[in-house]
Amino acid sequence: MTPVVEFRNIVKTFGGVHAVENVSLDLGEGEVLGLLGHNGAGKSTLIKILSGVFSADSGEIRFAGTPVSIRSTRDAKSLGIETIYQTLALSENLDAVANLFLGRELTGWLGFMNEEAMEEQTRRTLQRLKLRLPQLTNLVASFSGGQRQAVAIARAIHFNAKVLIMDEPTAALGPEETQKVGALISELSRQGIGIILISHDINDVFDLASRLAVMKNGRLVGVVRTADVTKEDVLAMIIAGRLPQRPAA
Amino acid sequence: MVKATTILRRTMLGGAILLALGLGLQPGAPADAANAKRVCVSWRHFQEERWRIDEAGIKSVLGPAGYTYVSADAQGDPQKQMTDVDSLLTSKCDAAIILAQDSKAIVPAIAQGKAAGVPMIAYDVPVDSPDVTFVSFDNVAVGRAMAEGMVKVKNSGNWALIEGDAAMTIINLFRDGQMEILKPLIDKGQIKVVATQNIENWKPDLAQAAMEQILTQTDNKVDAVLAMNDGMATGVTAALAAQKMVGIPLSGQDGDKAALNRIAKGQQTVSVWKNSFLLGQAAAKAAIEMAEGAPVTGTKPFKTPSGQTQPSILLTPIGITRDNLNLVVDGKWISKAELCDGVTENPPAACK
Amino acid sequence: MQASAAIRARIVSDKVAAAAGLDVRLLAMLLVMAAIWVGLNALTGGTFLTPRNLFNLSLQVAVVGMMSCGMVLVIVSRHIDLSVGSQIGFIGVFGALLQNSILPIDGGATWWITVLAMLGAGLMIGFVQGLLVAYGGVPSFVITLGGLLFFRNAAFYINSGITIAPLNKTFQLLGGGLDGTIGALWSWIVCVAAVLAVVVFVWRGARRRTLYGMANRSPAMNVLLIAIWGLCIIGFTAVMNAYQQPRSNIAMGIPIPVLILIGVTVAMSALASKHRFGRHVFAMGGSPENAELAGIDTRRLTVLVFALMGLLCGLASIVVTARLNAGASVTGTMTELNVIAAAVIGGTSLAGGVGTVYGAIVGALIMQSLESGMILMGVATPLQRMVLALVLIAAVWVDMAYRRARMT
Repeated sequence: MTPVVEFRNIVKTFGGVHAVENVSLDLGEGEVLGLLGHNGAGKSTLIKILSGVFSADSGEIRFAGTPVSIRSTRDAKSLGIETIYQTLALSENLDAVANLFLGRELTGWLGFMNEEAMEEQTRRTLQRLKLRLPQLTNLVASFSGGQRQAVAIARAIHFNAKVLIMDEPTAALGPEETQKVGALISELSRQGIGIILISHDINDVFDLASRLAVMKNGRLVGVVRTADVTKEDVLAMIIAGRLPQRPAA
Repeated sequence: MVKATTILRRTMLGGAILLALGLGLQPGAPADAANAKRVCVSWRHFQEERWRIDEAGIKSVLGPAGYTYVSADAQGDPQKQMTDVDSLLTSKCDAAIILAQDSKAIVPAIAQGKAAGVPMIAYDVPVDSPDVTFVSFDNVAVGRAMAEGMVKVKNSGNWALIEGDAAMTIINLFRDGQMEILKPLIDKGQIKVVATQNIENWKPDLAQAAMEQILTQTDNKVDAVLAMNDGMATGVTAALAAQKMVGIPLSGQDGDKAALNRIAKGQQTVSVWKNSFLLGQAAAKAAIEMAEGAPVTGTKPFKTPSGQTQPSILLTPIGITRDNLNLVVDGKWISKAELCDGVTENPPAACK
Repeated sequence: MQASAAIRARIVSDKVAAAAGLDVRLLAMLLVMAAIWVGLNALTGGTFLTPRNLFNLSLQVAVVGMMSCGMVLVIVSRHIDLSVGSQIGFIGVFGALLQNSILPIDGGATWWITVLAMLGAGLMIGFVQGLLVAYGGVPSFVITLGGLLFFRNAAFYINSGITIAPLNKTFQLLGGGLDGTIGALWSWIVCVAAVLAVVVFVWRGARRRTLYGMANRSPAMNVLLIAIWGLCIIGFTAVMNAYQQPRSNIAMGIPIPVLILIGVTVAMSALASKHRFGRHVFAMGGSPENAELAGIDTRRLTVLVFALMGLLCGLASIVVTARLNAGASVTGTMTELNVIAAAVIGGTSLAGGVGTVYGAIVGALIMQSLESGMILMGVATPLQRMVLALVLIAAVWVDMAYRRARMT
């Protein structure tokens, strides 16, 4: 089956520093792929290339088998690639509805926004995700961490995402909320959305991801099936760049 | 490789610095006349309407005498003027003419000039120091001429006083002259001052709003407006027009073309005209005498507010009214066409 | 734990405000303004609240009011424009020169050619400043400070500082004056049209919300809202019509500059709160990085914000020049401070991301009311300035305290 996203020989250099060096990786439909590695390993850069923030210096990205050129965040979103950033990238001075539709506002005559339609759609998406929010017209600045997560997730899901990139989604959450996010990830992958999950926390990733990709110093150390390895194996890959003895996926 | 935006940014900053420097210093004649004596002039804000006429007057005397003219423009900033005077003195002056932006802030610069042995002239704006020769129009006479021109037409009723920026001490001299004429009438009860307002920066549009409010407060019971300059008189006229009151006695100062045109049309009574060309000439003449080490001719002692005495040359301003408009035309201050533009009914003598 | 009485009171007031669809802060400002008006009226022996004074007040606030609408967006987008005062000075002299020396002063087309030229000049200046800020990477403070110096000097340079007066008769109408109003009949027509517009707007809003199955204001609230707006519009028109031409019984009606001000206010407010452009400007002001991630071209947006500010400067300069019936180089000096103060008093935060156009107008009205009222009282000018400075500080202080309280 064709992977929904393929990275082929991606290279990205920033002024002499090889942030991403010849990385090839793929993501299947409905698969949860964990992306692990130290700070500066190149994980963020790699996914930012997919989400349109950066352009690769060389290499190719394929989406559902077809080579695509992603030159802006708009291009990525129009393909169905949505990102939930580590900082959530929400505008504090706007409300939930405005954040959800930012850059993609529903407009009518002459560019004036259809606020009622946007509010109604926001409500529906939140209900679909079984997420609860206080007054939708309150500014995001007054939301708790979990509530902000809800808005960021709703934003990523609303526009028929086929691929979801989640950068440290549980870093700022307590155990109960982490569980909720985990359940959500499982549900979304069941719906066929491919998910790339970046995390520092091996435990979270082990519970959720079916495969794990490890990067070190810009290179891909290896990709393993979660079922086939132990946490120590993975740690060795992250820290020492050493592949486990048993065969990998 | 340097990014395009970095190059652009650096070019702009560099250009901005050059522009700022260029706009500030305006060197006069090139320094090739190395043996000629130099007269340095520090302007306070050269772009105001009249100073180029003063400059022309100064140059008309310095040129034939073989003197070099050097100048700097403080652009309205007292601090910059200090730097300007510094630079000018460093470049060697045989005499200096200073039009102070701020009478008090300039005093250290005067001290510097004295220390450098450069004779100095305080031009138009008074400076409280015995070490300068004060060359100006008699500012008290300015106020006097303003009031005289008004009183000849109306010497009673409710008067509104529109004064200049409260921070400029020269307005006190204007007021002194005005009150010489008006106070006896005020004391007699013939004239009643119904409102006084200082106008920030002498701005015409602020004068307009102030006049609107005064007219509202007095229910239009204003019979004459004593405005301290023509710019503010423009604003007052606009306010009067909205109340169909244009034509009541109105004063001004500076002989602005718009004001003279109003006088020709009967919309303004008097504008105190200072032929600043003559003043420039007088200052240049005095500067030459100082540079030659000769005593300055024609001075009278002038008492400063702090009681010190300084030599002074004070020219007498002229109040221009309907009857003597020919003076500004003959003096080539304004053309007859400009003066009489739009004058249809009851033309003054100068427009016939 | 029981919420304190203050917090409960605020929750209730917020609910009321949300239910009525009103901005609590704006309401508070209007109440403050009303209190100031009542106070000034008492201190001036009943002169302040006369049709004549209110008529003049509306004219006096027009220039700063128009410009503050644009300044709100500039400050919201985390920039500042210090050049606006110099712009109106320069464009004013330029326009006066154009109609007095280059075009025939009595020509039939002179007035609208001048208007287009002045608007164009403002647009151009704003556009260039915007380009320099957006693509040059130099802070707007520096660029517009340069603009302030450049255009203040240019205003003197292009005509050697000589004031140009008088101006074309038709052009003058744009500044008000005896003939610069639309008269009683047209004022009432405008009034009726405006009230109808409010009714239609409220009704459509309610209908849309029902259509999308959302919570609606109660019909009673809607009627109340229409009533309040309607009363304000009718009251305003009545006051303008109550002021008669001097020595006659002809009602003046709404002055043209005030119509322009109202038009600008409504348009800019709609742009800021209901248009995609405004939404993007607020997003950019809240976080430029997030805006970029959302696919918003922040650089292009910045250019547009400054260009719009320049256009409004062109418009304001038309009004101030026509009203003065002269092009004077010194016009607009220090006006940038009044404009910024109006926006800030109106709730625009200098940190960016927050602000309203209506608030800025009320802010401008509060400042102008105090200034004009103090002249009626015969207060000395330096004292007037000191009072206004204290009001500005107090307003911002209260605003920040209010914001802090809302966050907890």
